[in-house]
Amino acid sequence: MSMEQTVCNLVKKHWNNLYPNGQPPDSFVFLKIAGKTSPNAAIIAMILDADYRQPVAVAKIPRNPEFTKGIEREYEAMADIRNVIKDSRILEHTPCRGVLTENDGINILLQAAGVGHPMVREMTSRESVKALYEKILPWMYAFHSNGAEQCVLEGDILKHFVETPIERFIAQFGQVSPNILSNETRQFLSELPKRIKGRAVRLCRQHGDFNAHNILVETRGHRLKNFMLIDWEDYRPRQLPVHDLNHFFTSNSHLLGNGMPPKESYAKLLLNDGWYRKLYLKAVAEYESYHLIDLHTFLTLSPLYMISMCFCIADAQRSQQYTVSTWINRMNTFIRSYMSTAL
Amino acid sequence: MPLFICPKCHSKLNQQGKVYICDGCKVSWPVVHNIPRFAQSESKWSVFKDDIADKITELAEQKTWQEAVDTYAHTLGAYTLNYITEESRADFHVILPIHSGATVLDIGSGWGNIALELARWCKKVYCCDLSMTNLRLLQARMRDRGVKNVAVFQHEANDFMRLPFPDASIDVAVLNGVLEWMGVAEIDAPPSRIQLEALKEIRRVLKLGGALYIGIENRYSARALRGQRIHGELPFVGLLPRWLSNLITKLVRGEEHRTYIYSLSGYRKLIRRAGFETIDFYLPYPSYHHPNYLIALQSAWIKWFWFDQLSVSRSIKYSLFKRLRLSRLPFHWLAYSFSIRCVK
Repeated sequence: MSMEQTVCNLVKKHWNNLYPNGQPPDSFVFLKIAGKTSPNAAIIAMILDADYRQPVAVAKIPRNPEFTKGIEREYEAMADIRNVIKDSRILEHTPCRGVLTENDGINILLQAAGVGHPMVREMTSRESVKALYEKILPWMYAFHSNGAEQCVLEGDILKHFVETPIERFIAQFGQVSPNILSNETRQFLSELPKRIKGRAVRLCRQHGDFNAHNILVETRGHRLKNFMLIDWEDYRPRQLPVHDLNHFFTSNSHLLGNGMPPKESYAKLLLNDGWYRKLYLKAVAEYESYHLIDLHTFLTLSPLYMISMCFCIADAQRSQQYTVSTWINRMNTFIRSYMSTAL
Repeated sequence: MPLFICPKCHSKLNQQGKVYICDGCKVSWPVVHNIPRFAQSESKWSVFKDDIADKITELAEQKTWQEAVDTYAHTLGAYTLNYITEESRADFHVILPIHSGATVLDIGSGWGNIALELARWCKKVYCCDLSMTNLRLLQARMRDRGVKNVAVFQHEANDFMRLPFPDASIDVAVLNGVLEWMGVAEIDAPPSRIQLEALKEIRRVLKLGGALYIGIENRYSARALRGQRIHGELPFVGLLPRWLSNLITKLVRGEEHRTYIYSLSGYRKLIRRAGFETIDFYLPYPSYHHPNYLIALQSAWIKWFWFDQLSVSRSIKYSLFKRLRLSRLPFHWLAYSFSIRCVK
């Protein structure tokens, strides 16, 4: 039996996990929809109801049956969100209904189908980007602040979230990229734990890959009707509140860069004065009002986001869309331009 | 123990040192570089120019496959590098009856991207190629990746395809970008006959319910209609009747047009003649080389659904396509390529 048939059978079998109290359709159609993906990522298929011609489920099949960590983490995220978050305004934008099932020794993740198409296709003008961000960012703030845990950056927390990643980063990339990692950045990173010691932040849930490709939107005319955040395989339940917001603006800057290399689009849109930088600073200021982190601490800790991206990229199992040097360069320019003025 | 039998007379083979000797016709088949050689002629077909494949192979055998690729990365270029390393090229396996106990045959395995991914999903993968260089490189790659369930062998370039397997011994066979090149064999027979005989031979070795996957270009694709050279042929030549395309190619190049590709119905006819019962067509997008999307062509609405999803795009081309409701037209007739599942 092919994976195509297997997955359709599994959707039928686990229908109640996807749609409680519903009856499964008589027949399904399998549509492989994954774009280019890294070797350890999942092959993604959409399962359609053959009668109503609508998507009913999404299946994630590991590219390598021995490497299912991403799928398992996504399922844990779904379970965590479903069990802990009670606010329906947050839940309705997550694919929290689903099941991790096994077939022939291979884990397959089934989720209720999301709505719409990737947000990236709607980012056609400055106005459309602003309108989309206005709707999506407040949801991100609410999602982060739900169940966030107040803490002070000192002792074990400082060590775990700040000192250890910096030490690992220097050990892993300090020697490999001596010409890329600037002295200014090295010095800043070495002083970072001291600079932020004693500051108060709230540790919160972070999606991990919050970008325009992972947000499905449903529009009516040019207005956003509904949206859903997908691909939770990099989810972290307890993390510094600097990753998602930075990632949203940074990764989308490449999409808005009209073919510019990632380093240039980042510098042009996020570091130089302009509409996108203003949007970013406004978002950070709004984020502050949710009492997760203050503006000053957010900017000071932002290089940690770039460090985590370096680890992500360096993972041999990941695709090399952006190289580590791109992220180190971004960190250099960020520290040079923002920190010299902000601190 | 490999499944191998004599490709000529289908008798049992006995391995004596570095040679397989047929019990029936007594032909001996040498084992070169640990690769059984069921061939008399040698093909140097490669995705690389000049003798770079030999250099990479030697380095890969002495050191590692990755080191060899890294050393020559600048010469290979981004497209070739991606072509030989991107493992998602084998994503079509989701439509094939592959399971943990299956035996798969990858014909024209090249550098082994496809075999590498398929090996994770089945018990055994047999890879064959015309080029010994390709097979040595593939062998080095598997060695470095610790893949133990891939076996390789060389098959004859200038003959009708003869596979060294017993009847009904293979679960899935893969012909990805290979069928069109079969006509290039130096045999006095039209390409369509060489292709048909190869399909019949593959059907012979497939188990009942087993499947052949074919990834191949469309003869009447929009690209071909725009004059793009497909398989290095002269522009527009593939669109013409065969006798005319042969004549023109012979006049211009001094050789016949041999890389036959077909339309949707052409493939259906050819595969039916080879004896396959069930034939399912899929539209691989952007192409069968990188089947990011696989759209079953069993019902027109699936194609409409997919295209309407895709056409919510920044691209004016797609939005125009959508506004004019062109997705309702049989545009797949002009698709660049097809993925075909043929079940025995």
